[in-house]
Amino acid sequence: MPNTSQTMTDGIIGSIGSALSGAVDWTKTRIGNIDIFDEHYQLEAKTNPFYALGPIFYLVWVIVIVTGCLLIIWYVPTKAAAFDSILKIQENIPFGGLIRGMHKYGADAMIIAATMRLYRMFLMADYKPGKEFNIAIGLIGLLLSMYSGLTGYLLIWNQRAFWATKVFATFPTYMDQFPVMGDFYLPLVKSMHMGWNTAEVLLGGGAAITQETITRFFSLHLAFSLIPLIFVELYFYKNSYKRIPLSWLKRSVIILMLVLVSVVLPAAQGHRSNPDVTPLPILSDWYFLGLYQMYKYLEPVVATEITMVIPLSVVLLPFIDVWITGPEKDIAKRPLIFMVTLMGALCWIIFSFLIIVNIANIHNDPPFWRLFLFGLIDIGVLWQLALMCQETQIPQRLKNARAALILAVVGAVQTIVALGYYFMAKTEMFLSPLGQGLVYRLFCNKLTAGDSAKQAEDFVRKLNPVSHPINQEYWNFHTLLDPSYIKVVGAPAGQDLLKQLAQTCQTSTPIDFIFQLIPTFTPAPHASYSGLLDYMVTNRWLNDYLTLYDRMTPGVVAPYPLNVPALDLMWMWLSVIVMFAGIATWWFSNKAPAEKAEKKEVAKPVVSGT
Amino acid sequence: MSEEELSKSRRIFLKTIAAIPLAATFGLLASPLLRYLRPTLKPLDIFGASDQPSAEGDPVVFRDSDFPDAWTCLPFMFKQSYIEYNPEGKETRMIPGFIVKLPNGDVVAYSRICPHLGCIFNFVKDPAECAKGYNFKPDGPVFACPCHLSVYDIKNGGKVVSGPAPRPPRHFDIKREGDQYKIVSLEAGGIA
Repeated sequence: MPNTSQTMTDGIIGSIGSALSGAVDWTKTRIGNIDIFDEHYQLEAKTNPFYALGPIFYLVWVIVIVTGCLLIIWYVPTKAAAFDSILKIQENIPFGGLIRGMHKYGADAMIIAATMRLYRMFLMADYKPGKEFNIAIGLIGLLLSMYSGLTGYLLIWNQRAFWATKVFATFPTYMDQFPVMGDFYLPLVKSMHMGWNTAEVLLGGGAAITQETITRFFSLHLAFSLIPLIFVELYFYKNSYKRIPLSWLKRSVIILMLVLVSVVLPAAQGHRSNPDVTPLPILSDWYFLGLYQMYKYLEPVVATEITMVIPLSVVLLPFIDVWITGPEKDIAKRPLIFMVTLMGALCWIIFSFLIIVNIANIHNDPPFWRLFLFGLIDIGVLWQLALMCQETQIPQRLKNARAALILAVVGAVQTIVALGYYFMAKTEMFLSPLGQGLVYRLFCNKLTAGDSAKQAEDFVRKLNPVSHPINQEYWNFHTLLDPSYIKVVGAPAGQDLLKQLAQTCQTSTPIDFIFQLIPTFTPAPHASYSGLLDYMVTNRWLNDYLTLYDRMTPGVVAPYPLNVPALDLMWMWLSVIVMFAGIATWWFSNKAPAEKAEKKEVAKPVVSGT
Repeated sequence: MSEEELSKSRRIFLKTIAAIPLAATFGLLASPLLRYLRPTLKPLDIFGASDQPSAEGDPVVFRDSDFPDAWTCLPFMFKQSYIEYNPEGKETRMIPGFIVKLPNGDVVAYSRICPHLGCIFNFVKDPAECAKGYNFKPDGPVFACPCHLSVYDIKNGGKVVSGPAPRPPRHFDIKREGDQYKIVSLEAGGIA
């Protein structure tokens, strides 16, 4: 017996251990393949400028660090003196304008080089095989350049910098409205205050852009360059890679380009920052302009989520591509990646253009670009599926079957988005109230709560009808009916109805125990919910359901239900088509080889007979 | 599984187990690091509430005679102090506001800082001008933000009637004393 248990323990440890060692091997291979500045493409770099983008990025980075160190000699990082010290560098110090220009345009060049390099990696599939981390490394380089740019231009302390920083610091505060971790779910979970804390940590410990912000941004501005530089140099030293595999002639061309731009277009100074006057139009550095246009179109919570999803999807895309097309490197055979990268580039260019010329019709434009965004991705998916159907090699067809299923999942995800969007467009309710209304109906129906659910709905309808509400604070009845509260404030409107509602909320249901586990987190007269109905009424989830129901029923609340724009209907149907096309391709790829195999077996004797 | 493979698996398994307390130790450094970056945070309270600003100095005062007609809109500056970790312990900012007399006789005051992303919005009296510049034709004077085109209905509690703003602008509390309107405090939130 001890032998069996020994074997079992060995088996468990062995399987966990081998899974772990598999993961370690997988990661080690990819870390070994890391390519920070295209140092594995040094031969290509000599003939193909697109493979010289990494070395160019490194070269310009060094130029930016050197010119930055020179600028620190004259720059004064204080609220009172920063703007003037830049003015002095630009106007009075010999070669100051040139050095500042090379610093600024060098930073721009780094962002251009890093972006182009990412596009090259996607189009040439430089992340295959086993080099998927390189996309993430390239993206980190780009993001660090962008953050250096952001922290750098506040140091000028001009109007654009001040207001761009304000926008940049405001958008993390919308994290406090994210599902589960935000204030929005306060009765359900404790808010983590992540949004505001992030903003205050960024700005220097408080909610104002002030001297502490300059000091902090100055520190980060140096840290974003100097700390990575140490690691990069150690990496070059350890692996003895050549740093810049370009001739001195080519290096000089790049340096001269920077000098030329700095002389022809001296770096802008702008107006002294004034916290009391918003500049119009409010802009930021050119690489954030596309995002600014997006912020016009979207709910800020969604815009913040999308801003975070973009880098995440860039990191995940190479893995998805490897699942779908395996080791294939030819871009003509990877239309999905082609269309997704095209979509990203076009969106960014068009959005940047629109904000520069100040065009935005926030009511009419969104359906157009929703169709544009989903449409381009869907064309990529359908194109990819069409290629799969043309495949004749049986082993490849079987691999394609699995890939087709993954693409069907992409279609399914888009279909779910479309379904949610359908209700949002019809009712103008946002995701959280929609979900809460749905959860209410799921948990609280005739089956679980019997007639009391209907009763509670009736009371809420009486207290808070669409027009002429009696008491909009009805959901807070625990406090409103508290005798000590009444003594101070007086009896609430509709007191009798409130009492009846409170009575109904005490009705016990079979699933009360779930809701009794949830603490209320508020110093209300009750520390926990008495049950299902109490939870649904006091958190207004019942009310969300009523709003949803009323707005979806024609003729109850004008002008709801609204029409879904025709353009939106197009991408919504497209998502269903993509899903079924994926399933059909899966079926076709799996089935056809089987048929062929049968035919071969039948054909064989004939061949041998002749 | 061979003996050698098994011992390799065991090693990796034990290494992973040993790494957990190490990772936890580094995780615990999050609180002191965050407190270094934001010294007003309390120990071990990394998810604590943020510091919100408060009113400073004497309240801004308006009189009945300042509002001859409905839709009279007057700008003012309100002194607000933000908690900062500098020698003064605060940063004083002037928050721009509008005080408006509504057609029903009520006087309301709002911070001009747009709750969307912090621009300063305008009082647009002419609906035609709003329709032309902000993609929205209201039925009366409104607040409208030129940055991202949010439009707020003043007589309806500052309700967002167009644009991406997530909520109405932050309102000032007004204390009525005789014929005076004293602007005493501002609803919390917003970066200055």
